[in-house]
Amino acid sequence: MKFLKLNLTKMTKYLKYIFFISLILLMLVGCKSGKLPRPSSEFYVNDFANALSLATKENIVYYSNEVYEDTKKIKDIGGTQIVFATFLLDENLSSGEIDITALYRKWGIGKNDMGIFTVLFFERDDDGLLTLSESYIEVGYRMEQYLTAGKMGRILDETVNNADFEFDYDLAVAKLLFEYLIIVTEDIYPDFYEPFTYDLDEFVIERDNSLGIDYSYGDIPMSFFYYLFSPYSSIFEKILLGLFFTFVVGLGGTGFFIKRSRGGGGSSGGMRVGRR
Amino acid sequence: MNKKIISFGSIVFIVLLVIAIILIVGYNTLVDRKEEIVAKESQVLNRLSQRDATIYQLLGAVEGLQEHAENIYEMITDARKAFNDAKAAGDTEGMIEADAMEVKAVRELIIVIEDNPNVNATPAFLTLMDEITANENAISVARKDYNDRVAEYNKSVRKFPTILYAKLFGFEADKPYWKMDGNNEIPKIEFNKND
Repeated sequence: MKFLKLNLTKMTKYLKYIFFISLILLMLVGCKSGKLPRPSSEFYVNDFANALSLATKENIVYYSNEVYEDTKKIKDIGGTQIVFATFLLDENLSSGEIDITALYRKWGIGKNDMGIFTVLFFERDDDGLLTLSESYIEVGYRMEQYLTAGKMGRILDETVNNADFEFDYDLAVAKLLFEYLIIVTEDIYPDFYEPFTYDLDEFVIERDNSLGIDYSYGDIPMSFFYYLFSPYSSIFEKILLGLFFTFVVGLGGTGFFIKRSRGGGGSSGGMRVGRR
Repeated sequence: MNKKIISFGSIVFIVLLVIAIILIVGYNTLVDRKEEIVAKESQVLNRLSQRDATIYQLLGAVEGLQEHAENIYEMITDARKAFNDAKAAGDTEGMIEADAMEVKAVRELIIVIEDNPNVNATPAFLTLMDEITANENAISVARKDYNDRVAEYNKSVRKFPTILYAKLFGFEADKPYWKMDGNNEIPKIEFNKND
C-alpha cells in the first residue's frame, strides 16, 4: 500500500513535469513564426507601413466589415472580405519575401473564396517620404469571375498606379476601396444592395476633419490597463481586476476583450495583377 | 486453462484490431491524398485551358498581331493536341511535356509583342496582358499546389508501414511532379509594368 502511495506521488510529480514540458512545447510551436505576419486585430486593414490615414483605415474597416456581415449568409457567393495590407520595404524586407498567395491563404480571406486582397509595398525616398513601389490585387477562387484580371489592372491604373495620386496614396487607397464597393454592390450582389456611389471630394473633407482618435478595437484592453495601473483605482480594485484579468486570460485569452475580425476561411489560386 | 485461452485470445484479438485500424486509417489517408492530387491536377488543367482561351482572344482581338499569329496558332494547336492526347491516355508526364510546349508558344508571343511596340498600346492588349500574366501566376500556384500534394503522397507511400500494403491496394509508388525547371515558366512581362 505504502509502495503504491509512493508510486502515485512519483507519478503525479512526473505528470506535472510532462504537463509543463508539453505546455512549453505547445507555446514554442505556437510562437513559431515565418516571414508572414499575422493579421491585425482589425483584420481588414493591416497598415504595417504606416502609410494610411485614420479616416481611410476607418472607412476600410467600416465598409469591409459591413459587406462581410451583410453577405456572409448568402449561399455560395456570400462573405466577401476586402482586405488591405501595406509593407515598408527596407534592408530587412524585400517584396519577394512576402508570398502574397501564402499570406492570403494564411489569413483565410473571404468566405466561399470570395476575398479581395490588396497589397501595397512602400519605400522611403531620400527625403524620408513614403513612395509606392509595388501594388497587387489578388482575389479568391470564386471572386475571379467578378473581379477579373482585366478589371483588377484597370482599377490599379485608375487608383494607386495613377499619376494623379502620386503624392496622395492614401486618397488612392480610399478610391480603390470605393471602386471595390461598386463591384460588390453592382456585380456581385445587385439584388442585395443599391449601387454604391461616392464623392472623393467629400471623403477628402471627412479625412481633413478627422479627429485623429483611433477607434480600433485594440484600444479597449489598453484603457483597462491604464485604469488598472492608474492612481484612480484602489488597491482592492487592482487585486480584483488583476485576478479577473489573469483568470480570463488563462481561460479565454485576450479574445475576451478584443472583438477580433477574422478571415472567412477562403483561399486563393494566385490570380493576381500587379504594377511596379 | 480456460482463463489462459481467453486471455491469449483477447491479446490476439486486440493485436488484430490494432492492425486492422492501422490498415484502414492508412488506406483512407492514401485515398484522400490521391483524391487531393486529382483535384489539384484538374485545377492545373483548368488554368491551362484558361490560358489557351486568353491567348486566342489576344491573337484575335489585338490589331497588328494577326500577321504574326499563324505560327503561334500552330504552336498552341500542336501543344493543345499533345495535351488532350496525354490527358485522354491519363498520361500525366505527357501533359507536363505538352504544358512546356505551350509555354514555348507563349514565349514566342512575347517576343512578337516586344518586337512590335505599336501592338502594346491598345486598351484591349493591356487588358488581355493582365489576363495572361494573372493566369500565368495562377498556373504556377496550381502547379506548386499539385507538387505539394504529390510530395505528401509520395512520402506517405514510401513510409512504414504504408509501404508494406500500398502496392497491395494498387497505389503507385512515385507520382510524377509537375516540372518547374524554368522551361515551363513564363518570364516576367514588363510591357506595362505588369506583375
